[in-house]
Amino acid sequence: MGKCKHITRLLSDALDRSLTTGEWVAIRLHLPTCSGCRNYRDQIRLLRVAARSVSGIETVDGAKRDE
Amino acid sequence: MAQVGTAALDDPVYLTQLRQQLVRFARLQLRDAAAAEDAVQEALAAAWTNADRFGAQSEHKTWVFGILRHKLVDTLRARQRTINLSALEAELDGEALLDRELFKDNGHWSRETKPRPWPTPETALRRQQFWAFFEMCLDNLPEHIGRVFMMREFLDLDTEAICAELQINANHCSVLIYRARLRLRTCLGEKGLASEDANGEV
Repeated sequence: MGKCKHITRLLSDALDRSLTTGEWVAIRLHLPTCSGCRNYRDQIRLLRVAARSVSGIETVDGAKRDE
Repeated sequence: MAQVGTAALDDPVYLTQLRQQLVRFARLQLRDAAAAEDAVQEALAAAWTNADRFGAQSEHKTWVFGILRHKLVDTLRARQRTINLSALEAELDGEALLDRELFKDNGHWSRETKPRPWPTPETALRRQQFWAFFEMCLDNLPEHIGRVFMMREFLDLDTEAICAELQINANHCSVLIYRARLRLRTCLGEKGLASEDANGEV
């Protein structure tokens, strides 16, 4: 059930669509036991932040600079 | 208000930096330096005509990037409509190789490749390093994988729009994005983001 190969795909999908309840349960059961997948999750989130900042969608310091 | 805005946009340091960021962004998408320059030039020209509407540089920047994004979507659209499905399948077949490196037969991370925490880039130098690595790793992505990832994360299209645009199915679309993320984080990890500081605490 909770294989990293499968979970990493779900964690990626979660950034682009809503997961089913079953998919969430699989993730919730897996993550507490696997530091590799927890790090992976944090890192793919960071990739999104980085990409958005390069493309001016969200400027990292934009919010602060306004006021 | 308008005065403040104009002064901010006359700032040559800001404009030079903005231009560099725009060119980098366009080059990553188009993989063609001349076409990237053209796209940026057009976006800046379009933005200039409305420059006095912006009170702050950050607003202006967001807006110019928005113009450029539209421009890039148009350019990419004109360039190539659909993905060659057999080329796509071949690319995805090749991914099995990477999987064998990353995961054991039982589907769990193999010891050497299990993701380790990345240090937070505290210093400006570290941050600069991160961006350099990020660009390098993006450049190394296989063609389709890179293209779909950029459409999703850089051009901010949702997967439905990407599928429609490239005429691929939803599964292909999400696999390609998944492979991009897996490759990027592996590549960044290999570049040393996971070294020194992080090694100690594993």
